[in-house]
Amino acid sequence: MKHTKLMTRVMKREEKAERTRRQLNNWVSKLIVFAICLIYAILLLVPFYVIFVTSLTPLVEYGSSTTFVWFPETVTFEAYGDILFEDPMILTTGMSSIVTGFFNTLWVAIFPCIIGLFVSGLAAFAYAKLDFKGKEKIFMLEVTTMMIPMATMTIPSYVFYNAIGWGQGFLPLIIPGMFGGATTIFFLRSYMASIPTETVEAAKIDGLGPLGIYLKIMIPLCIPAYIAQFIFGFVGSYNNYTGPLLYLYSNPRWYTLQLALSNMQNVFGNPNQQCAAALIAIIPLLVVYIIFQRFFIEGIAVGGGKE
Amino acid sequence: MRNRMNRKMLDTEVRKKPSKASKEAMMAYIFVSIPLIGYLIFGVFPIVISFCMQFTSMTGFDLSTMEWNHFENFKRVFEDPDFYLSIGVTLFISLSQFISLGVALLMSVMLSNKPFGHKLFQVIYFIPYICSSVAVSLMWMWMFDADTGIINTILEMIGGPGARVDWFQSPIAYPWMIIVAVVWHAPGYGIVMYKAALNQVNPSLYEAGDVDGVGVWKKFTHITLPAIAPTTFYLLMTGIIAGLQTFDMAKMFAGDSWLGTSGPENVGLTTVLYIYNTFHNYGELPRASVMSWVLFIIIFGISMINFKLKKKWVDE
Repeated sequence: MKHTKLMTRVMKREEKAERTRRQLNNWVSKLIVFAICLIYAILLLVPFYVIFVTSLTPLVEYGSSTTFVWFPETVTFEAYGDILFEDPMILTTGMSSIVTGFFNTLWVAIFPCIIGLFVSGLAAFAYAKLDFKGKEKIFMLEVTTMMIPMATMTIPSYVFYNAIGWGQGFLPLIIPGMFGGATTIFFLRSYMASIPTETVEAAKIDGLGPLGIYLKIMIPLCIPAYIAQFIFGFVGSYNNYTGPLLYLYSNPRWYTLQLALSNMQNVFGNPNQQCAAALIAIIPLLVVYIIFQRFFIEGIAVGGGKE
Repeated sequence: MRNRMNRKMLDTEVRKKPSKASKEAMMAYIFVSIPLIGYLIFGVFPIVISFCMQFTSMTGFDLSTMEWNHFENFKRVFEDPDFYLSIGVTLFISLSQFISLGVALLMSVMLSNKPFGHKLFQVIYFIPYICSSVAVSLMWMWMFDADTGIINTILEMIGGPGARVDWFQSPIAYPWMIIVAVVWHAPGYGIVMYKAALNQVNPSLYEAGDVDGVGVWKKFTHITLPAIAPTTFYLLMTGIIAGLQTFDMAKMFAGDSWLGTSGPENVGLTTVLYIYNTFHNYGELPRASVMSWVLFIIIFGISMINFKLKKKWVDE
């Protein structure tokens, strides 16, 4: 009796030791995980610090330095002033090339993003909720177009647009996108499939036609999917470099933001100016991302990449 | 099952009101045909033209000057050492995609442990992915600057003045700049995809592992890795495809060199950049077409596998 009591006491003590050991282990592993996450976050943010600090450093300090300037002795915003107010483009369009580029980008992005999304939604709606002969086969055909790698389409498209006289200008960047895209259709279709068919049937009984159902029922119910796809398309247009490089290079007034940014070194080649320009180009999208981050991540996690 | 029910319901409706149903089908055909018409005009047409162009010589963009030239374009491409060099460069730079995949896997597993501040970390990890390749290139070109770049400054702090690397002049160092920039830029996408996949892993599997007293590493290799394998494969495929199409950063790092060299000894000349130089700087569209088709065939083969897996992955 006494013996067993002792045994249990010993066991309890061992158990306790085991428990604290485990807790310590748990605590240490949590700390390691946190440390790795923190280090990675710092590694990702260092380049932003570098270009931010450089954009505030007067050129003179680089003239006398043989190493990176971790923080300038005098902070100056003159690089931003140069880019926004001293650009030679102001003489022709009244705006600096980066601001002109920003508006050109909006203009190039908005039509494919809105009209293309609307059209893709129509097709997705038909595939998800309407009944017609050969639906599966047509859908397979539609999805097959997703498999064509973008970069290998560059030459064929370039030749084609030049042959029909669209070689230089906004048309190749705007018109094709307005016909919708297979990836968007694929994404919207799977979202619409989760809307109960009864809702659609009820609307049919109320006398709504397919277009009415799409406008009055599907779009309001699928707004999150539309926003996710809109953002995804907009980011793609905003960051597009190859397209503008091929079709807009001949006229500086047409330059989109990315093209203006890549050409910045011809006018403003100093490191502080380069870094300021890169930051000015990144910030609008960064703000949109911080506000709508949920949609950014949803658009990717469900829709897959539009590479 | 449910689908079949719907179809039955629709069938009965078809019998009741044939005109309404046929009107619906007609509208459906219109809806689905718009994107297909767009694809026919802006996809199929150009593809056919470029396919034919491979076998011809052509002046400028004038399609009427196309003339059969006895596989001359193919001969020139396959005898061109720069073409093989560009494929080698592209494959080497595609290494960045494998590194990105590894980083994405590591960081998503770390995040799935929900450390303090994991929501903030998730937001930060995605930021590089939304930056444009132009901005990322400018950023890293400055980081790698030979004199006042932060990387050479840090190298000098660690290893003395001899540790500096002339990144833009050394053929060995040059491609690594692009690789580092891609690895900084790309993993955000994989982290999001992996995080979604890790949330799907059945927790009872881990509980069973706990009961059996399985260690953390074994749980990872025997439960987690197999469960997220489809995502790994999908990311690997899209990564390879993206890597084979590397252009933006290669072009930015090479700058506007009218000599056509991209980096020292052309070590920054990716295949797509070479194609761009061929038609844009030299105006040789048919030869560029041949190179495009070679690249297309390689990527298409990979895409086929990718697509089959993607379908499986999305539909589960």
